[in-house]
Amino acid sequence: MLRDTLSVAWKEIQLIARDRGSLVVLFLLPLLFGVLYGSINRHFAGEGETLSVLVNVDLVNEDTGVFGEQIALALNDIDVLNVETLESAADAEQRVAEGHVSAAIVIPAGLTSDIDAYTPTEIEVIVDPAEPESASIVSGIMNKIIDEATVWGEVQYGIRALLDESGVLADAGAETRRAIQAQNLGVVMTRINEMHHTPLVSVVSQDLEGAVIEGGIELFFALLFPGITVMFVFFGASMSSASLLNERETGALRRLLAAPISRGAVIGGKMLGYMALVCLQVIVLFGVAHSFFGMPLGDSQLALALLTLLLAFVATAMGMLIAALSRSSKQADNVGTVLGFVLGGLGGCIAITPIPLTRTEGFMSVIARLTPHGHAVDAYYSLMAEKASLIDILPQIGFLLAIGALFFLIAIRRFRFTE
Amino acid sequence: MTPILDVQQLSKKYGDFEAVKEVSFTVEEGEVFGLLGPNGAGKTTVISMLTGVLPPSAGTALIGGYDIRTQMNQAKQLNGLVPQDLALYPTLSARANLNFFGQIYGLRGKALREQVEDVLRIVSLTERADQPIETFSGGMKRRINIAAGLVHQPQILFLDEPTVGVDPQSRNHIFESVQRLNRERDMSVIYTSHYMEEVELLCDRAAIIDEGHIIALDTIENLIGLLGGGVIYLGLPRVDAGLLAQIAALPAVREALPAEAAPLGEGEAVAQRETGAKVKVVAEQSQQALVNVIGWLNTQDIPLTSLKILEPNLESVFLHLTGKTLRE
Amino acid sequence: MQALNITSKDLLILLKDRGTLFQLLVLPLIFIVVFSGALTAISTDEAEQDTRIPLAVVDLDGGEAAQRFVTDLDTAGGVRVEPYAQDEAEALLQERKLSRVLTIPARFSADLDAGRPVTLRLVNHPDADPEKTEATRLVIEGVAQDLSLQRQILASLEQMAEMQANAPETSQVFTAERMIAQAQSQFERSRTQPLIDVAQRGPQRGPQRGPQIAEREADAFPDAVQLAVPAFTVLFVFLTAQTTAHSIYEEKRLGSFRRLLAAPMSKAALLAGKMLPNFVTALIQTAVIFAFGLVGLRLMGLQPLSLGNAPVGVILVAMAMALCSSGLGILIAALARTESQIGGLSTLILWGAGILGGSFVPLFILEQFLGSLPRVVPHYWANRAFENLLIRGLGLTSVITELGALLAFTALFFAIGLWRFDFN
Repeated sequence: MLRDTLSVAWKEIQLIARDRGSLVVLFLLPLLFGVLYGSINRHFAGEGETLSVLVNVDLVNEDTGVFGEQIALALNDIDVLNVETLESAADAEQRVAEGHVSAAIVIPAGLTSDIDAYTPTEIEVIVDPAEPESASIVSGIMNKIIDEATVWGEVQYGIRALLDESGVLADAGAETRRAIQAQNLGVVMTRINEMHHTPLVSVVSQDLEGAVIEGGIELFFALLFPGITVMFVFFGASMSSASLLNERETGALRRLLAAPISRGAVIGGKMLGYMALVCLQVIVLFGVAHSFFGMPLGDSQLALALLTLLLAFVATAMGMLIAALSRSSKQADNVGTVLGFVLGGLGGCIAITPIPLTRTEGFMSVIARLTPHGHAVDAYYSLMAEKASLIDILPQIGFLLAIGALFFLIAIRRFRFTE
Repeated sequence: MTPILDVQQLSKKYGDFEAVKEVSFTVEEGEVFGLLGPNGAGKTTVISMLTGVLPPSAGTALIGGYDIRTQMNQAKQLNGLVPQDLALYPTLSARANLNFFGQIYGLRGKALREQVEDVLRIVSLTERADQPIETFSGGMKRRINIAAGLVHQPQILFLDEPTVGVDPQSRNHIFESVQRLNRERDMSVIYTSHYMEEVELLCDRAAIIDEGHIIALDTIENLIGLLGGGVIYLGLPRVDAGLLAQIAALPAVREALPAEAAPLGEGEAVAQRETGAKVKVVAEQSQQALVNVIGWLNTQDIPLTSLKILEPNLESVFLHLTGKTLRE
Repeated sequence: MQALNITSKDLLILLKDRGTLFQLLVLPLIFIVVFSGALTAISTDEAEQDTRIPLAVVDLDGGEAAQRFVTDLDTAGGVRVEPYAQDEAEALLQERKLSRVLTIPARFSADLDAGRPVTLRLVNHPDADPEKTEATRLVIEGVAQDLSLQRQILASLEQMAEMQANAPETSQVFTAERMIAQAQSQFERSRTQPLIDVAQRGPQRGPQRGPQIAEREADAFPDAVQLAVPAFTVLFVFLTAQTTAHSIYEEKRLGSFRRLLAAPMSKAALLAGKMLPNFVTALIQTAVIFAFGLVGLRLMGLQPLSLGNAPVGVILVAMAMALCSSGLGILIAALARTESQIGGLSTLILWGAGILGGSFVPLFILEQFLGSLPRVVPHYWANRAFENLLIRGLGLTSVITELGALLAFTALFFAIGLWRFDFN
């Protein structure tokens, strides 16, 4: 029986190898997605070698005073922004409306005088609705920049208010006034200096061991690539269902049945062949991720291998289940495709959260925990990003084993070898 | 001599529907045995049961002495199947396909290689052996189909409607192959078809099967002989026993029987049925009998309302036995 | 016209093909719902009333400044304060019953009053959602910053006071009570109305000003789902080119092309005829998906798609896109050698073009990253056109270039297809 199973497996591998179109979809497409998303994320994390994010903004400074100038200078100094100064606010607004720039910053005419008069004033940031990410970047930057001007204005006012209240300035001579002004300025500069160098209250975020939490884009890759890989692994395995039904439809299965080979070997051999395909997919995709993006592979290669074999089993078992429940090879093909997308999305294969979907809080994570995809991604992340060992991922292994066995048993019972 | 195939009351039931009803026949070693019947008669179901694709509902069969209910695996080694469909893997080469099935039958290494080469030679496909089957012409596909059934040197070959939709040249090639295999390798062949000419040409004995059971089983000569020299259906205004006796006494006539209606032949429509009585005349020799009968009817002033002649062939035998044609 | 006959025949065949219909119409909708995070959006709506992130706070100080800080934290929005004792908090954190704990050190108020820097520690469980951790940290930082401002105002007054120590006229101005009162009043005022405010809004469309957009609000900004609808429409309409290519291949295989050629019809007309069914199919596809965007999203409780201010423009773009997709189908059929090539290679090309042309990653990011490269695929122009019309709400004139590009692509595809097509 083992020999027969191997013969069938070899036949499957030959068939898969001849199917150039599917190979392209199963290997090149996920590579494309992975490389693209990986590169973009790395770029935005600032860890690529090339330039960092550039947001194009127009700046219109209608203020003639010192604060406007200060803010304009600060903006021009920021690396992330590519600032172009315009004369007309209307022009700038038009350019945003037409999508030529991501945002326009308009410093109003009376900024300095308003601040001096302690009258609340407003800087307008006009953002392109098609670029919500840019909008938040610009806003974040603006808020930081006006901090300084705010402090200046508040401090200045505070001092003046007290002086005015006491009526001292009114009587003071010119020299006194000048002295006070100079001291005023001195105080402001001191405060601003201090604000920059020794913030009064700082917040430090850390994890339980006391180590400070750092990001690290490599960790994200340990989520991005397994997600894409798992999704495409299930696509590959679902091909097995169309292939099996095709054999039934063409009569090849009947010829096999007339031969001294058990039904178990027929199905088992097919699964074995596709499991080999899955393992190859994982090796290629993870290999690229590790070599070109520095995705970590974790401490336990053995656990990784075991997990991959188990994933292959679950995926191919699902393929057999689809074959058992579908009426034609075309139907199996469609079902496999849809199921692949839906379960992949629900299981969190598309990395929209920074940690595996199964670990977040809320309704979506509950759904994710019902899918094999979700658990597979979670287990890979544990092994690769968190350097877990085999014992740590036993719950996920258990789930995958159970659901794989379930698929397999139902498939065996329900599959009809003859039409 | 024990027959290579001994079918005993083989039956297949799907729910209430009896697809195959207590079919029994034997095939001697080296024989070419035909299974003739219209589509849906149960031929493929019988083959499926004998080759192990379907389990029988009742009855059994012995192939080379192995009981298919308990020793199917051994029986399968003796069976070779040439199904109606191509039933191979089109994207793989001829050789890859043969290698795969050879392995399934337990062939390995040198033995496998030699067998595959041998079989490719038999069907004259050695040159195209490494090209994917999907590039083959229709005829070549038929030939690789046969090759796949032969690769493990079976003792009994089951050909299931092998010439459906095949061009004349390939058809001839198939006939030649069957005859050659039978002659040179002493291969027993079960040949199912709904084409009578093929069964007449190739087979030694045949069973005629309709609606799941065998309605006739004999050598080809004897089967055709059921019609004597032919059968003539006469339409007459009135028939009685005396008339029948008189017709039966005519020279070249073997018997005269009353018939319900002349069975419809190929292409005839229901509208053409006549009312009135019918007589079925089984002739020793159809032409002579016809001349005599018509001559006699003239002298008796009995008008003929319809006339139909069935030539002696299996098609007519089937028509004669069932009132239906083989090609519905 | 002869071409119409082919069209109606092909459409009839398509209507009977459930599988393909499913791929054309239902799959894009599934995509939109699953991949744009729509499900997340729905589920967060259904979450508990209080959507603030719970934050366990241990106050080891208890002084006035500390208490004020804690209250401010609770009212800042985004974070809900839950006070705990230190031991209890640590234990619960270890057991993952609490996600994160903020500890206010014992000398908080004293240090602040003295103007010494203070450090607050936010301890997070490793399994805690990093996004929420970051959000929490930002809120705490925000409140801390406000506190700093207050201190700075006070400190500046104190500093001024020191400078005035020798000046008789002004020294009595800067008394302790006065300074504190002044600082306080300014601080209160700055919380309700900051001296310098940053107001974010969308650009003006027509005579009215653009809508005001507070930073937290997203109502006037399109959300991820809305952005996904046109992007995935573009992707799937161009994927339909495969269906055309298959249908042409089928026609070839059946030999009916020769029959059609024998009829009084030029080759160009024949191919044009094969384009027509795809054109109609693509239009129907677009209509269905957009209808979903308008109606379906609303039914799901999400923001519906906006059709912008120039419906004529939208229709023209949809038509140009459909035409281009049909031309692409002809091209694929002309260039593919075998049936399986239509499946495999064209799948890769069409998905790749979709990625390159902005159906998955926003155009402005792609352009930063890849420069002008995306322009070589028609998807880019379709996506840009929809971006201008639907998201920026611009008028027909804004998409003239894009329409031109799409039509140019169509002509190119058709020309090459006609040239390379093997009618046998």
